[in-house]
Amino acid sequence: MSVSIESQPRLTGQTPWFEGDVPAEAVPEKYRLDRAYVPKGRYLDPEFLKLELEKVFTRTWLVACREEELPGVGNYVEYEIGSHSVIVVRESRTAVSAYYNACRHRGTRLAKGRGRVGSLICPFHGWRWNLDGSIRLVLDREEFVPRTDEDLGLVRVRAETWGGFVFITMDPNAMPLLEYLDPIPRIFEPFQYQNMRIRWQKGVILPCNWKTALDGFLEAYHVAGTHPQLFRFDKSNTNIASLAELENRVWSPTTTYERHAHYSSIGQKKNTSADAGKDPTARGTNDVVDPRLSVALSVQYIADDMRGLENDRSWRAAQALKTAEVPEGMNAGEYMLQLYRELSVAEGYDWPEIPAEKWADAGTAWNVFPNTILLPNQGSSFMYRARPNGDDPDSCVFEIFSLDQVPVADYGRKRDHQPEFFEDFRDADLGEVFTQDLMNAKEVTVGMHSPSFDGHRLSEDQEMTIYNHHRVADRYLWSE
Amino acid sequence: MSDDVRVWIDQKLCTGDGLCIQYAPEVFEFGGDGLAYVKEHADGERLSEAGARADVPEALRLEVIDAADGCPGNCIHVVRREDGAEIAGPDAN
Repeated sequence: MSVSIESQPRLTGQTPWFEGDVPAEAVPEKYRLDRAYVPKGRYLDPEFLKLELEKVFTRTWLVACREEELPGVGNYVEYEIGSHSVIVVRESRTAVSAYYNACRHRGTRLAKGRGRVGSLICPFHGWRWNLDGSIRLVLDREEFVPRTDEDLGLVRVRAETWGGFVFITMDPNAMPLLEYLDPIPRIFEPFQYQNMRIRWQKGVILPCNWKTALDGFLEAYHVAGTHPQLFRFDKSNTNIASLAELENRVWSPTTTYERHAHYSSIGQKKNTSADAGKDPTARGTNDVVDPRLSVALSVQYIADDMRGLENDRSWRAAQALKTAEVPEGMNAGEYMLQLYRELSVAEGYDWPEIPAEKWADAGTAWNVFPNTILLPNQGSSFMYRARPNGDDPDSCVFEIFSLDQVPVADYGRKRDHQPEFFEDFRDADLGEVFTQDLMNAKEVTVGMHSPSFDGHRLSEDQEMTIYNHHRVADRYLWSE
Repeated sequence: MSDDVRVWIDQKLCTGDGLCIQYAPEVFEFGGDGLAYVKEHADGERLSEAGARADVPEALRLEVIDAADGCPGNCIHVVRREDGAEIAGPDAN
């Protein structure tokens, strides 16, 4: 395999390798990657999960929460990963801090879930800390061996923000967040994540490995098989795709960077090439002759069924498009975007112009290594996050965040936010598309346990996002 | 009836948590004893007498009500200036 320059994206069509990757022989054979191949032990072995918790999750930057979840001084969110609990708290109007969520006395967890406090008070013996982590009160302190205030202060976890997300890392020597996220902050800049707020947030337990949950959203190769209704006029028809429909399937090549990766849905495979990029005006519904209706139905189905990535404004723009006179020299998709822009600007939203090359760079969905996915779109976005559920490699906590841009006048406005949680995703009212995706979780896991299955055989064009996660994970797993 | 309110703290029940001071530092302040007291102006003297009442500026009314609602000691009383009826705090209905 050839060597590329660090941080240059590896384009489609081959298994990625970057300068600084660990050599194959450094990886135990049962976990060793091969060309477009990932052995199943990396998903199923409790021993591998233990390694991930020790070496990946403790050394990478992780999305802990959104800044709008910490509107006031003293608001906190607990972030649990593996056996660790970290408390993220707004320390002042301008500073968010994170601490290991453990009392310095006998280790008790200090705060659970989310809430607002004046000081952190241990529920066991009442020791107290200020929001800056300094010790405020130890009852009968004279009875203890003399200890400095520093020794009794809460232990900090690094916290940094980008795009309204609060990231934490337990590695005091980790590189700065923006360097870690590169090239995402550069490419995502026009999508203005800092001006988005959580519209809804749902968490579910899935009967699969945490990576299996993410893998399902890291490629669009599954669309023809899993979401046959997506391009049909009759969305209620979920019968398996006909061969004629497969002939018109979309193609979504993957691009891998040194740490992160994305796929781009760029159109029908038979009519496109790897040089094409994602184009937000190129979308539609099969067998609908009127291009206005074709585009509008596509937008409205996502808005109605997924309740994210699109929003009330793009839904209304699509409604207007159905009967609009499309100007000369414009196609229906381009006119849809213009209507959406006019509506947004009239209603007080900022509308940054996103040039074609920025859309192409942004693509459709990104793996933010290790356990987050972002889907950039103008005005709305999804974020998915998966975490192991205890020490069971076949169970995970999977969360969906639906994010919407807010009007300029509301940038400084505080909002109430309550995440929802469901033991079973079928109770979570997630719509047809998400339900189809999540139904696969159990099936993949059962099948992977079969003695006949040894590992994932991946498409080098459309599934290198999945491979890339493992390639990057190896850097953390097999190095000191 | 006017919405103007006053606020007072039952210091016997104050836990010293400081949540009220985070909501409205212009109204609440720690005393040297670690308990919370009220004051009438952001840069004014705190009213050091137990149970002293302070007028709440209109712009801070909601913050002060939130402080009373969230108070871990349940000891902040927000009363209507006109008739003394408690609108937030342990005696509000």
